[in-house]
Amino acid sequence: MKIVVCVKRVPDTALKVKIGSDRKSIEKGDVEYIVSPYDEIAVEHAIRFKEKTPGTEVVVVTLGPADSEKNMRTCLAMGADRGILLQSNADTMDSFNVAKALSDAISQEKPDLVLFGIKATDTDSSQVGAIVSMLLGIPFLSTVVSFSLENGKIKADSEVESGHLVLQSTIPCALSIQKSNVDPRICSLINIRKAKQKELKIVPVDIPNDHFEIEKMELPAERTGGKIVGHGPDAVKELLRLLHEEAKVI
Amino acid sequence: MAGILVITEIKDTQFRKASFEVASEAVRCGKLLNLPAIALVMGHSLPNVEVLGKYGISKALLVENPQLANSYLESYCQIVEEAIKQTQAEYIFFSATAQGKALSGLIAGKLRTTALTDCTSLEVKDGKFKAQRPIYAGKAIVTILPAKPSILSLRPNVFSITESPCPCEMIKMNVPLAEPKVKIVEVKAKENKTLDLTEASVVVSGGRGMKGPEYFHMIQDLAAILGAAVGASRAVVDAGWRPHDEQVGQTGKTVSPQLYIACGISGAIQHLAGMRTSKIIVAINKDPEAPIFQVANYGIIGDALEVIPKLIEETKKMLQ
Ligand SMILES: Cc1cc2nc3c(=O)[nH]c(=O)nc-3n(C[C@H](O)[C@H](O)[C@H](O)COP(=O)(O)OP(=O)(O)OC[C@H]3O[C@@H](n4cnc5c(N)ncnc54)[C@H](O)[C@@H]3O)c2cc1C
Ligand SMILES: Nc1ncnc2c1ncn2[C@@H]1O[C@H](COP(=O)(O)O)[C@@H](O)[C@H]1O
Repeated sequence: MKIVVCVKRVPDTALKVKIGSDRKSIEKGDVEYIVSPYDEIAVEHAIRFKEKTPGTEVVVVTLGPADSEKNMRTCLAMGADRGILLQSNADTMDSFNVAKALSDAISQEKPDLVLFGIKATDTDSSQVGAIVSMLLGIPFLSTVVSFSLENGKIKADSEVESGHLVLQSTIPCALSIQKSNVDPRICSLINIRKAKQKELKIVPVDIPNDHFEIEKMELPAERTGGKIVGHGPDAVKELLRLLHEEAKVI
Repeated sequence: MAGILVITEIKDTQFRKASFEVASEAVRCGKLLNLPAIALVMGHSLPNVEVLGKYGISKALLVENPQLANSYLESYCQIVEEAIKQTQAEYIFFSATAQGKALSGLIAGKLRTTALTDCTSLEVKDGKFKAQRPIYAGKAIVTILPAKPSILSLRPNVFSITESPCPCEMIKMNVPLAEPKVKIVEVKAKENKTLDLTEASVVVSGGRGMKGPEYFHMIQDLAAILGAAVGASRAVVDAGWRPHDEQVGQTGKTVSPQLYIACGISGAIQHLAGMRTSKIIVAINKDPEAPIFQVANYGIIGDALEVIPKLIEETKKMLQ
């Protein structure tokens, strides 16, 4: 089996966002980048699969600027075998253009499984995985929390609003990974060192213009006017009165 | 026929509430763009479709096919594609549910364009269509002028349901489905049939301040009285007190209820990411400095284990 995992570097989740001077993007000056949390979980799933299924190769692919290498090394230290960095400085939110570049690279790898995070925590789009699978012409299984290989097919547990769906798919297929009780492993120093020697192919790519125009980017409206109703159980009556009469939500 | 195509979603042979929200918003935008709003309804057994007329939908395309009982995304995708072809729709609206987000992506791939996920506001100005959506976990809002065809999904619970009754013409559509590559082999419904977090209009959430899983029944009891869904912080999900599908936040669910009650939750930036667009936020926390109070409309400083029982008691009295 060959598994490709698509990983993206994103600003640290603790980032305090500042809007850039163009009013169309955020200020990137002192942003720290991490592997998008869901993508890291997807890498973990791939490595656990590999540990159970000898002969599996795990390839991580990213589209991003040159310094995404650092985040790729993290994935290699977790246990991925090699990486492909599609290098571009185009900092685009256009899911189709990202998906097109990824699918061109992935199709050359001819993987059995392609894993994605359910969403990148910067775009919050949940789009790239679906588009890549459509471009590759393979089925897309979304919000997957676990999967296994059974009789030459993929069996996957997909979390939806009303519960879970157990899916069975032909191979090759693409899965987008939802958070579950699977946590990404902490990398040992030895593995971090080993990761430096692993193959990381750098391929420059051109990204075409976006399919949309960004008019502006703003901070969300501040929540104001909050008040402390009181202390302890004694405040409950007043709280309910406010929820009923003032806020009209009960 | 051109128009705005509304992809409805059925759950237990009923329309999802989110589908009425999308229908109402499509009708509103349609009036401004001078386009009809057309609904697509697909399932193995269809609900009462006429109800769509109540929200101003003048035409509905119906696909009733027993095969859809265990069909996954690919079959629905085929049907949506056919509906787009037949209607020549310029705008395609989904609700941003698990299925809606995935389907919108597949359709975007087919039409070789980019869909906008989880829109929270739409605007038509001088014939131009604009959409707003949160990015960076709601820490920024971007306003976008999409290309055509425009594919969007709308965040549940954000757009209001508006009645503007009109007759609804029904058109049966027959779409031969290809042999599926993915099959649903089992459906595991939630044990206690709790409400969907993302659709609930009230959410009661608990964090580490609830002290232990043995006290979470308080959260559940309060939720039951309020007809609310139960949520949790990541700290309690990681500790195994609550199932992971209840996690609210950046790496959990995004919710926008009318009322969000946070009990013993500190209000870390990653938690706020999932609930800051709630209409009214109530915080119960013993630490007056807890960041949750900065976003809360109403706060009670105190021990959640003492405040919640009183809240349950008084709410019961009030709703009687
Ligand atoms: C990559 C990443 C992703 C994350 N994603 C999420 C996410 O999706 N969702 C999420 O929630 N978190 C997320 N987190 C974790 C987040 O940073 C916080 O650690 C977490 O939200 C804390 O949960 P908590 O508020 O329950 O616990 P704590 O931070 O421990 O807070 C407990 C609160 O309860 C109060 N308290 C204590 N006892 C009582 C009492 N008896 N009565 C009333 N109040 C009491 C305390 O004053 C305190 O404010 C993420 C973190 C990272 C790094
Ligand atoms: N630039 C990128 N490089 C590699 N993978 C990506 C990139 N952007 C998105 N992805 C993958 O697609 C998933 C969904 O991203 P999005 O549609 O932007 O929310 C992510 O979790 C990644 O697995």
